[in-house]
Amino acid sequence: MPPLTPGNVVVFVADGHRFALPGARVVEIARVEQVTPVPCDDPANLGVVMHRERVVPLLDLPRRLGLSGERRRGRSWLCLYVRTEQGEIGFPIDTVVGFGPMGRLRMPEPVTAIDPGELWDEHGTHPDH
Amino acid sequence: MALKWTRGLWPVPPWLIVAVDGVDYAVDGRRIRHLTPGPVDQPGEIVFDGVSYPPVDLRELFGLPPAAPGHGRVVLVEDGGGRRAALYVDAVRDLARLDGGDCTPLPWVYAGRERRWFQGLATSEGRLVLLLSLDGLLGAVPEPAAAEA
Repeated sequence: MPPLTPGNVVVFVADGHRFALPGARVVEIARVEQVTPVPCDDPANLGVVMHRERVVPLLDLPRRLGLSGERRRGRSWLCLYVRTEQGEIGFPIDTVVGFGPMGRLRMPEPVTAIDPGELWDEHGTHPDH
Repeated sequence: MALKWTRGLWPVPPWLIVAVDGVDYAVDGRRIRHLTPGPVDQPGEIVFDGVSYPPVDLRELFGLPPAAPGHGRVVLVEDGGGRRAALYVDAVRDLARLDGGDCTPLPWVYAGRERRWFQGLATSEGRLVLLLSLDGLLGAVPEPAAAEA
């Protein structure tokens, strides 16, 4: 996992797992009510939503990282939208634990640091696959 | 119900909106030859006008749970190059005219077989619709001669 760079960090919980990512990546946190499932090979891909008039894919982050084997249920989730080099993406989350500058934010443990831009290669696939 | 498109009547090609497991999919109307009721739980070959259409069960292809016993609809399609298929769907909703501004490519995170199944996504009356790629779907259908061998 990448080290967190100095700056603001957002810490959140998804499917019981704590994650931290650079605050500069965060676009918005909003609840989604209508997810359109897209049949696909990767079970971590949950479908797409319309977010601010754009089609945005939703990703089950714990499942993508191999931390959870269960497919996320339901179709109404709190979503953390982040920007990546490839485009915007949403992560369904349970809650936000904290947001603030590195060093001042009390970082809970365990926590997994992620950089959303490194979850895919240029072909749209997980680099570890 | 046979569909007959009158050329020039539609400013853009019509799309047939069908439903599978609660999700809407769009089929290029120019490729449709016939619509007929069919048993969604027992897809089989359809012979229409003396021509065979091999079954493509979209639920099975997409890894969705089997349909409850009952009748859905079968959409007979061909690609103009001799490939044909009977697409088994749960229901037919309506016709839609989708122009380029309504359509968007499949997001980059989708990199598997779904790239062959879908041309992209479109918004129609506030809902998201998956555009079926008949070239990709029919490419997976065995040729009739090969199927008999």
